[in-house]
Amino acid sequence: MKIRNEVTVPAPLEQTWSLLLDVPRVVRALPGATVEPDGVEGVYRGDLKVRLGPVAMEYEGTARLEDVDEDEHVASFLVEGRERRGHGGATATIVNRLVPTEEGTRLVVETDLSVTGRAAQLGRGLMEDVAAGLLDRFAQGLETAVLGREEEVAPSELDVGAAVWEPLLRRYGPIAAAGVGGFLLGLAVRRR
Amino acid sequence: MTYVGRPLPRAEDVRFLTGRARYLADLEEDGVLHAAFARSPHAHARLVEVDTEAAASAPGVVAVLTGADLAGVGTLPSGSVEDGVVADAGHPVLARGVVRYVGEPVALVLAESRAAAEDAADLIDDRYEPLEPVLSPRDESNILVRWSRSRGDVEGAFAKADRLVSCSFTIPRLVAAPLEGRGALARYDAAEDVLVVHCSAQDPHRPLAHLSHALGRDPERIRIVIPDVGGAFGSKGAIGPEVVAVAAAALRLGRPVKWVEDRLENFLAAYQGRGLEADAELAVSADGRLLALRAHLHADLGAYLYPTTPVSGHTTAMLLTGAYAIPAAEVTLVGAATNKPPTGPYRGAGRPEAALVIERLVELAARELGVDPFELRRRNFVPREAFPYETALGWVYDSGDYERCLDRALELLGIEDRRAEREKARAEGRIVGIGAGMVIERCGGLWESARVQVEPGGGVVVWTGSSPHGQGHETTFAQIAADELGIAPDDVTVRWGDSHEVPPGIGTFASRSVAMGGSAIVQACRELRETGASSVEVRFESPLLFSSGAYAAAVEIERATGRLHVLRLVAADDPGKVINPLLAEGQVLGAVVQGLGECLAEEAVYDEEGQPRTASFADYKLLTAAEIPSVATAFVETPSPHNPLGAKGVGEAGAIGTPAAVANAVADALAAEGLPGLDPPFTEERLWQALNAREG
Repeated sequence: MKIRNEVTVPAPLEQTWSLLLDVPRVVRALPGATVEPDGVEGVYRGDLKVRLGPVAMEYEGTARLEDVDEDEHVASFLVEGRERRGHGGATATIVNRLVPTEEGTRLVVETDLSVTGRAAQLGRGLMEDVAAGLLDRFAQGLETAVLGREEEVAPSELDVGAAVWEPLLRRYGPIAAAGVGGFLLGLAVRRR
Repeated sequence: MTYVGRPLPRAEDVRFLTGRARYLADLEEDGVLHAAFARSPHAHARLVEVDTEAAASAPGVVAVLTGADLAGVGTLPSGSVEDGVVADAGHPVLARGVVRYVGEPVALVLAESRAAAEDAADLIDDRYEPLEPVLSPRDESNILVRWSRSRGDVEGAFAKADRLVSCSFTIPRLVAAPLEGRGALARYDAAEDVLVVHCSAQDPHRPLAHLSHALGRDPERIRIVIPDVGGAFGSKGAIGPEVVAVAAAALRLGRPVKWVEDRLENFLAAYQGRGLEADAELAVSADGRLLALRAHLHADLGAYLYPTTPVSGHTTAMLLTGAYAIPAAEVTLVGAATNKPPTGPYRGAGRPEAALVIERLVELAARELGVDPFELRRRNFVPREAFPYETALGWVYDSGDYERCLDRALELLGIEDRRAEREKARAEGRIVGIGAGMVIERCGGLWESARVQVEPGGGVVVWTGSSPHGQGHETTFAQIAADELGIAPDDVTVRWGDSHEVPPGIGTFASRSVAMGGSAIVQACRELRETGASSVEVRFESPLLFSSGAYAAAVEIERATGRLHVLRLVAADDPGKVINPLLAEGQVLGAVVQGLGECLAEEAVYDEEGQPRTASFADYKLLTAAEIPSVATAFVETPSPHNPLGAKGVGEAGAIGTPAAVANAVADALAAEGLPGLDPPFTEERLWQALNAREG
């Protein structure tokens, strides 16, 4: 699945660019993620905890800086992760493109994501919302890092529930409503 | 007083409605181990390693089994098709070497509680190398079923035809979605050397044969017991590899093992229905005669063949001439392996696909010729005086009166009023249509068993080889026995489902229970009366039976949203002699709702990597009462000559006629907009896009 996110960072292009390539620093700004250099140039090892309501997923894996175009300011990462418990995983190619604007720098993130396992199966459509929420936080994290405010972000896991609350309600709301309706109807019938 | 033909309420409902039914999950066994499966996350991958160490040492875990541990267990049988070639591609019990669909069982954890088993299953470290998945049935890289037949002068008919109409169809996969999923409780009785398996299935006989095949165990040393079953719709006609694994584990560990499928597992791994692509054409004369039919069917069979997998495509192929006297036909069926769960029968099992193809073609032909589609049908029906009638493809229809069914359906629809409304609505710019679909329901066939015994207290016990899962056997079979013996239905006890109690039989599928199981009871009762014996056991045999019917629908499509409203739906069914009109109508209505689901919402979707996109009820939509229009039903009765009841069958008719009628009504509505017809499901998105495609 392909996802596109955009965020404008209030910092000049060159400053944003150098930050984008400082992977550990960017990742630190993403709640629930930890990362450390793998020993190989441009490869990082880390993990990510994501919670969506009652469903918690923990991934371990690697991020690899695949391609860096200094002139065009395009950097692409290959991220591969496996669920620590369970049988699924995720692979993402993330292409980051920086464009100078009047307010600072626009970051365009284009992601090609494939997910397997329970995360993919439990509301496949929802997964797209979750991934979009995650990348949105990534872009925000970059902004936070540019502003030097990393310490403000502390949670040990990323609760994307908040990010996808609205689509969640849209998708599951009618079912919940039908359930509540059925329950009330059941009560009414029993009372007669 | 006679009871057959009377609308007696269902005797079994007292048990079901007061919570006293006993389903598989309700069964208890001392010392039971609970099973949970680790399943493939990939549609197609090399299975590199399954490390079970962490899982095996988790709290409460007694054993973890992999494909290597069960290397001595065989696959499920592959099934067969008359005059067809079927590959040996039975489902393995646990994957070894390669996984072929998301959800394929890879390892089995046995623990003291279900929770411990599930937690430990997550600790299994399974590693894969992904392979390219095959997803389209038109990808013929691995053919599992091949069948073709050509009868009559097909080429000559197409050469001399005045008009040709052709159409391609894509009929999506559907999930059966029974309220109760699959499940099994297996126990090895060492004293008797008998493996006892309780499982949620459509009969005890096929699970017994399948287990015997996979385990290499003498069928005499296996006992199958079917508890109350919360729906099957065809999906429990063959046991899954999970049941084999559970039975093998019980034998190996010497402790009872229980597996109760959860909803996610049912979506991922239970076999699915439909999944067919078809290219079909009709040769038609200028005066409206259907001269010949030609079709290529591509069945999306999934990764493996269950014993029931090859059947549906063959049924579709054989029924493609429908209710019509088409003298020549040529059909090829290619069943392709795909990296999705296997397919198998689901309510209708090949019949709805055939009805959709031939009925859409007939209405296309009517449009092409500029004649009334109902008139074109009448001109080509197998006439009522032609029975028994052998179709071009070789099945012999036993009885029917198709014109009377169509008359009755159009009367119920109020065809003249609906036409007037259609004209008026179209003048107002609304998108409305009317369509019909004829039903041919292959049912019965083979044989069925019954044992009838008079008890010392005067009551009668009937053991049947047939086995209920919602059909109401306890009511209809008691009515039948009561009339034969001159007693009341209350004096009859109907028993089924325990292979050590009931005589060997066939089971409940293909709308066969009343005609086959009921007729066996009639035969046993008559022998009982004639001989004066206190107990008689019989086998009743019969050729195939062919129920029929006509369905019609009036629909409106909202121009702004694409939403389809089925305004009116009618069903005129000929199931032969009706034993209980209340239950027969219940069967029609239930199947109509499933047919409507197929029209409006249902579709099992897989993405380009073979990952399921519809693995929960949030993504796979079932209809609710809010979407069901009022349905008018009627029965026409042309008795079958092949059994003493004159019965045929009615369990699937609604699922056969509804999609064809609604698809034709939608095509009629779209035609007024200058647009071609579409395949189901007719979702808002699909219809909106069709309506808006012209603009851009």
